[in-house]
Amino acid sequence: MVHAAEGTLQAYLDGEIEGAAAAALSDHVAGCVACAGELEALRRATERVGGALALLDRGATPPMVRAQARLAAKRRGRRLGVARLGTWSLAKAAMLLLVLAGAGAAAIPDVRRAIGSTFERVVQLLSGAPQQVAVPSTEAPAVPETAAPEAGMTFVAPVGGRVRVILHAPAGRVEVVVRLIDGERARVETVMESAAIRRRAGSGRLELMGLGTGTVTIGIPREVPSAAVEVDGDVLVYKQGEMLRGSGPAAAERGTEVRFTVGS
Amino acid sequence: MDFDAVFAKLYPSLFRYLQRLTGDEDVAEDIAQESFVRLLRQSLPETEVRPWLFTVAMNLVRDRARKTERRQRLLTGAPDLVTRTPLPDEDVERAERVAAVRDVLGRLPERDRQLLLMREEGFKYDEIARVIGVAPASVGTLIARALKKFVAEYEAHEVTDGPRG
Repeated sequence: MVHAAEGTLQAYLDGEIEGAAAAALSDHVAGCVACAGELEALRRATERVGGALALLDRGATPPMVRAQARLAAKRRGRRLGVARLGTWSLAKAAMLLLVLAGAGAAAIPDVRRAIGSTFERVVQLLSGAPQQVAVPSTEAPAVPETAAPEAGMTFVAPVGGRVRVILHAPAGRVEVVVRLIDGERARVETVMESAAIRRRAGSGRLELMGLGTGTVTIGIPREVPSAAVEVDGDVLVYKQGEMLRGSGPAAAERGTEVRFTVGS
Repeated sequence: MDFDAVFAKLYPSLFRYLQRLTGDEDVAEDIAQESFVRLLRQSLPETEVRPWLFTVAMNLVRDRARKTERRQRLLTGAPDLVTRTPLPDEDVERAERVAAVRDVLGRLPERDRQLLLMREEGFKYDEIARVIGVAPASVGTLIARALKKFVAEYEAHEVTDGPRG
């Protein structure tokens, strides 16, 4: 029997192999003890490394406000014609602009209102929109990636008060239902007409790959401070206080249950 | 390219990647910011932005490491001016675990570090290949080997340090 190469198995775990190739590999692994063992070893290593690296994250939120303010100042500086100055000069120009902006804000009510409004938007972004950041993980129960049956359920424990559910490239039309639930863990239920779903989990997140046509129902614990549902890198639903809020194509949605459809 | 959207989408990931890579929040913030400043001067297709940004950031990390190395050579022998206060037990244990991860990560070749950290950020293999400069078909193998190396070093560390109760 020809065994699958470790790189192929890793690519399968990482969702890089899809469709017929993934199905063929899945069939092979199901009947090959050596490849099943290797796949399991890689999965364990993946989880181990993910948990270890999450320990390196010091804060729950990267300094977005500061970065945005500094970058905005630099962009203003560029528009004022200092774009070609060196980095240090840019930094000094940024500082000067911030000081001038502060002085202007103190002196002119309209400027103060404008700056206040920008600041509020940034704060709103920070407090409302979820940040894509892994937080320190002490006990990150990982969910093994498995070949899923047509209907399957996975639980995700929050880490650092945060849960992310990420859907990758649905091949068919997927109705996504996100609702607040009681309990400590998020619950992700898939019902697919044809499914070769693969799951990748770690540090409070679950990624679903190989989605076909069907429904994904995601239960977010009411008590979790921060949660996000992402599709192909875009946050479409996030938790704000006691409510779920939609974004992008789901922008009109809000409440304790939010629905949207992705794919075609 | 909608710069604000790109920033909102990629900054947290780039910052986390850099903070894990360098172990220094301030350095990570500076380099992330400088990378975005450089992005302002670019006009790139959307699919190219993330690999480009991380490549630039990685180059800035290397530049800074070279400068720091020089500075440290000059400062060798200088007294430690930082006053360190004792940490509570919980923090000590966490600090030790973090130090172990950082030590293991530091002992891996740079390419392996990049592979593991980029994979954690959800990069697709073709993006990783572009940043690292390898063939996309080899990325799976390189990641698998890097993962195994990390785990072997990490477990050796645990054996050396003894089990934690």
